[in-house]
Amino acid sequence: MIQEHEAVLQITVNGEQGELPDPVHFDSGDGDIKAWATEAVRAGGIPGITPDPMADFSAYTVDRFPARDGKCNRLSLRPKVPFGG
Amino acid sequence: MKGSSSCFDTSTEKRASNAVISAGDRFGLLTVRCAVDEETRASRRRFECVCDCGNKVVVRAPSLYGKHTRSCGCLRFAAHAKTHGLSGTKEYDLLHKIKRRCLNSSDPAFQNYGGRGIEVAAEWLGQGGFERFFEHVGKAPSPHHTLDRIDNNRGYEPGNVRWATRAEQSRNTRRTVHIHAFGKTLPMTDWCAEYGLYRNAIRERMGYGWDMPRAIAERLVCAKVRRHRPPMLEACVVLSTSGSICFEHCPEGRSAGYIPDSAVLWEVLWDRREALGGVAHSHPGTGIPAPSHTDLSTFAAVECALGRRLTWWISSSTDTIALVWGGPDRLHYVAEQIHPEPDWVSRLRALSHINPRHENSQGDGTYDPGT
Repeated sequence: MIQEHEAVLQITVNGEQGELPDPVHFDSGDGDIKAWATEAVRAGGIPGITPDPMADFSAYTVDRFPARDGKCNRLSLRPKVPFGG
Repeated sequence: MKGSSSCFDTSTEKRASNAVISAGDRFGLLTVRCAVDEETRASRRRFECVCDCGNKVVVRAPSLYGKHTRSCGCLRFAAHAKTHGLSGTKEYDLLHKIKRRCLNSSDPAFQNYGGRGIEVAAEWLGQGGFERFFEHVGKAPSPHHTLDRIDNNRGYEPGNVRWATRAEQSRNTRRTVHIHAFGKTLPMTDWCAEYGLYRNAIRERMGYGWDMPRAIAERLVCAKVRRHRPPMLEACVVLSTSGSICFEHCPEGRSAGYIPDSAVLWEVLWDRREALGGVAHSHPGTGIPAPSHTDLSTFAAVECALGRRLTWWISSSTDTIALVWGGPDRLHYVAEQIHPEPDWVSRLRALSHINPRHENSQGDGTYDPGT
């Protein structure tokens, strides 16, 4: 059961999407989230995502979706898509 | 009668030393009750007095006779309470300075004020003058406001003053150039602000001997053209494998050099990943565009997430390049100029407010951000 302060972490990598088996704190920092995701993907601990020992989420960003309509908090680790600069 | 009710007398201390003070004598608000010691010298004698406010005070005889002490101290507070209580405020200082430059011939600014006939209204001078002045002008709207004379040739008088900022005041000086054109008269600064004109350009044209309406009108033609041309803003389109545009991305916050990160764009890329050909975005300027480090790291991150390689196009107002990963480094992309340009390029330029130029550059290149 996911608590009010917790969130499901969804990761997208190598054309696959999966969720971290354990919930994480919704207010966790981006750096922590990326580190957990890197460890989990490299170790093959995410159902639906093939283990990738070279996984690197440094160019990713974290979207935060607070609980709505009965759904729990959600965190999404996705690639950043800015251009220019 | 010696000593009694003599507090308003102008007796000297010497005369007071010879006087007799008795219980019940009144000096101002003080009523003598009794002597507090056995001092024989009259000038050293002290008396306990009761003030009308109820306070008790001990006062030396000379102070009573000499009018130095007329109350327990409450008279002083009462005297203060009678003033407006605005001494030291911006408005009080302002009236003080106005009076000084208009009335004091030794003031450095006198020649520009009092010296040229600028006067201060009589009702704002003398007893109660500040109260009447303050009642008329009110409190300054902000610390940046100062008092401006509406008609510079009239004095500081009711009806001819208003609060104005420095900028507003600078448009109402003797040196302000008022220009009559198109049926109205405005300071040159206002004309320039209204039509987006440069003041120096107007001055320069007047130097040619043009009259003011012509100087403004000539500049106006150019300014109108400028105003109606929106600034260039980077835009992005998502292209399918068939080469058609499947999504146009013009997010809020984009500029001539940047398209901000967007969850919406990523969702489009993910949802259409099966039939995704690539992504194109625009760059400002002419010539062969070059990807920035942000561009390259975005290309790499998206391809990492999608698990496949894409083509990335960049268009300037004259040229378009296509970039694909060349490896082995993560950010090593190889560019090739596209000629002739695909049809969707004109749509990308339109979204970016770019006026297409027809002279294309030729060539190709490899971009490596120094890895």
